Amino acid sequence: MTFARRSLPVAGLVLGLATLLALAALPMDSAAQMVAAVVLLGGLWIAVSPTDDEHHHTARLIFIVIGVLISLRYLFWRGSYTLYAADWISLISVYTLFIAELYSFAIHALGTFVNVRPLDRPDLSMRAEPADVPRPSVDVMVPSYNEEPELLEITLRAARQMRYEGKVTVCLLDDGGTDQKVNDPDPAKAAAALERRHELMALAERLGCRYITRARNEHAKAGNLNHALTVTDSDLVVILDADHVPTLDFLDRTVPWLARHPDVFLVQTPHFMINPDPIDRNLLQSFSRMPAENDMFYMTIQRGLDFWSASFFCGSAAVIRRKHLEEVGGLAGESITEDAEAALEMHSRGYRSVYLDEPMVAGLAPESFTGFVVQRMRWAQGMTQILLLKRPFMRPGLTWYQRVGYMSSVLFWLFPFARIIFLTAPLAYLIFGLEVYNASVMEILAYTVPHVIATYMVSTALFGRTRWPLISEVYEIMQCLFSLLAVLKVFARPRAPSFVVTPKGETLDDTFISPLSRPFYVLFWLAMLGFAGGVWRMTEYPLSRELTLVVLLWNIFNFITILAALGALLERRQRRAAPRMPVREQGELLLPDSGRMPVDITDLSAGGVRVRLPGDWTAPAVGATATLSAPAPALGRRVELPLVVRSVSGRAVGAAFDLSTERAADDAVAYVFGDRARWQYFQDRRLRKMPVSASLKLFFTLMGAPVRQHVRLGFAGALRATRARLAIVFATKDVAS
Amino acid sequence: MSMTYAVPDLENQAARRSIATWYTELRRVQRSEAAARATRAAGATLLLAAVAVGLFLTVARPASEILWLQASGLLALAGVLITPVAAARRTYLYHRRVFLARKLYDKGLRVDRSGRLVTDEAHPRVVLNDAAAAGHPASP
Repeated sequence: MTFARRSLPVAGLVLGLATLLALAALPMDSAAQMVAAVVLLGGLWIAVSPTDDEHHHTARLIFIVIGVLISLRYLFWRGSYTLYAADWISLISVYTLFIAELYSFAIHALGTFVNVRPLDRPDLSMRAEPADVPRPSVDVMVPSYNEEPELLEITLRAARQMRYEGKVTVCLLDDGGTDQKVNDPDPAKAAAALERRHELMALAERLGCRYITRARNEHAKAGNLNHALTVTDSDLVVILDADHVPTLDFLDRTVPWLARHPDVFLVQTPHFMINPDPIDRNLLQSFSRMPAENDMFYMTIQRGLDFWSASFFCGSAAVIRRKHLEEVGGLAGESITEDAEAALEMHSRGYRSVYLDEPMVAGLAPESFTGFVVQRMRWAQGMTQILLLKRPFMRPGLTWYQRVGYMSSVLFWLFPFARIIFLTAPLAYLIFGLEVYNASVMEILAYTVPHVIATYMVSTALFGRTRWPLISEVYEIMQCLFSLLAVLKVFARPRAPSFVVTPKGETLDDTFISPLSRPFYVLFWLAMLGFAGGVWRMTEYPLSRELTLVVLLWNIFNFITILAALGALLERRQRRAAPRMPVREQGELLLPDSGRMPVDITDLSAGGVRVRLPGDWTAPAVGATATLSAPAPALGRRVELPLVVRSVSGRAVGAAFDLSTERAADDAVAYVFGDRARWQYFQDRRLRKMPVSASLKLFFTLMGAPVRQHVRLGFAGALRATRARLAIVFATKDVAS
Repeated sequence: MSMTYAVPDLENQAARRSIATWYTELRRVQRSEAAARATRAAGATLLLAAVAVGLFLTVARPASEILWLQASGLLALAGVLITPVAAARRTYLYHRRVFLARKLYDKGLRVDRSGRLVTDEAHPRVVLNDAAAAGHPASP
């Protein structure tokens, strides 16, 4: 009976796949294929229509199957009729492009499988658990390497105030003040490390936290956490990055899953970023309106993985059961993404993970494009290491769907190969005349166009709320050149990469062009050269005009994404280390002379608040002191926060918190960061689908200014360099004379 | 006192009436839009099925009974009549919904997933629900 219950779904799946493959391989001429494609696309459109609500599971399944069928028919046709060339170089190009397409289809198909039914976990609260359910003890571990004490203080204060009935110990794991660092041969570095150690020890003592450091900086963050595991003894371990500030109810909502289910090893929550990443900040400027880049992963994909019991640890904002973690030897492993690797180990021992899609940790995205690239290269390298060293596809202990889930997550990071090929393939034809794609326009209309439309429709239906059209293309192009080299290094030496800390909380004093922009200029000029080659080809080869036109359209698409990338490479000035979060709340401003003034609170940050005054009140003077009285539902009371007015602009008043007392500092952190509902509200307002036309319009609107700035800054830079050279030349002549 | 997005003064009879009217209409528009969407999908299904059957009959089975072709023609006709009308209605209702939602948003209100009119805040308060919209505002 059990065998039948287990075998039937697998048999059904195999039968379904066989039918799908048979239909995909059905031979048809172009005209028949065109009719079939139109009918299938119509069916896809009908199935997609009611899926604004993601709970239409049957409709989701139908459109996924139709979408995959259209793409499979395309690939069968490509594999059967188009892979030929007149010479070896062309043949290599033809196969390279086809392999890139196969990879893209595999990622698309795996993604649709993973996200067929994103899981919504119910709300649990430890306070609602019966009194006889034991409250496990918790160690909150905040590993740090080079972060500022001010940043750490906010995280530690928030961690200390988390509401939980059991025993909680907050530990600061300092890797910047290890014995190795303190005894550095360079006296300046040694002194700085010692000073940092003393400063953080004092901070920990003041906040009632435990300071832990170690002898040597081995295995980076994972080694730091593993060392802490040897000197602590709680049942559960919460891991928070230095900039990841938890809400007050973080433990209350995550621990019940571990208390109720002894086989659950992990409860992961999203990393909610309170500042835009550099691409958003430099180009899109849509932080409050558009889903963040990581929303697609945390709000869709992790939920999809959770359905297949394959959601994994993301390094922070999670609770882990110590027993299970110690069973796999802690976090240190063979890869630099030790978090995902540890989850893989624990999954393969049969333990379960839980993903809670509730923003309960507020963190910082990298401010500069360089920091962003550093972070992404680490992820790409780590996931490739897992692919090569851990081989999730044949890992014993994993179920087949967990293997699919892990392969989907791991293989995604090979996207730089495909992205580069898609960027250069049209250029190979337009500039060098390599026939990389052998098809008539009729065939392209019958096979390629439906495949592209179907892929787009399925992706939009699955991910449209958390990722707008064209956004993925820009993010991938921005990363692909650097990640490609990083991934190639892993293929050459899988164990070589080392952990690099992502810089957080940086400030940028001036607007400048990112030092990483050179390859994008090369791509820009290559695309321009492609246009010139296309026009020449149109005039010289009239017989292949239609194909040239199609390839030119492809090049235009690439050109738009390259232009967008150039826009994102213009690093905008960022002087504020503590990002402001827009809010819509009410409070009262208590002024010594004017009494209680009702105000709208328009934004909050770790350091202060901006409020809007009602029309009939006089604004306080800059430098005046006041108190903000506001309801703090997460605390269950009002907070009274002392302020100093810093700026007045019309009805808007900016004020800094006066954090001179412990009570004020605690309340400020609890008020600004403690409320999960505020983060949820902010996120929900960004979630909506965007049609491709609107997305294109957004791009065109935004791209003009950055391109002009590039030209201006580029000329200014060239002028400065020329002046400097001339000055050196004249100075040398003067010295010589 | 002028506030940018204060919760509306529910003691003000006129404001309360207009908010209740917008909310009632918005709920009705939401329901009608869902119906129009379903009708459009049904019409498109009919049209598609008819086209598929018609194409199959003419291409693969040209010697079939004419009755089948006539039936598919009738289906296609129904689809052609239903689909554009439903699509146009859905578009109109969509714009109307956005218009009404914008009016409520300007008053600091929104309709939540349960269909209640709530304040547009992180910790929303219920202002009206469907039953109350008939004339009994819930206590804010």
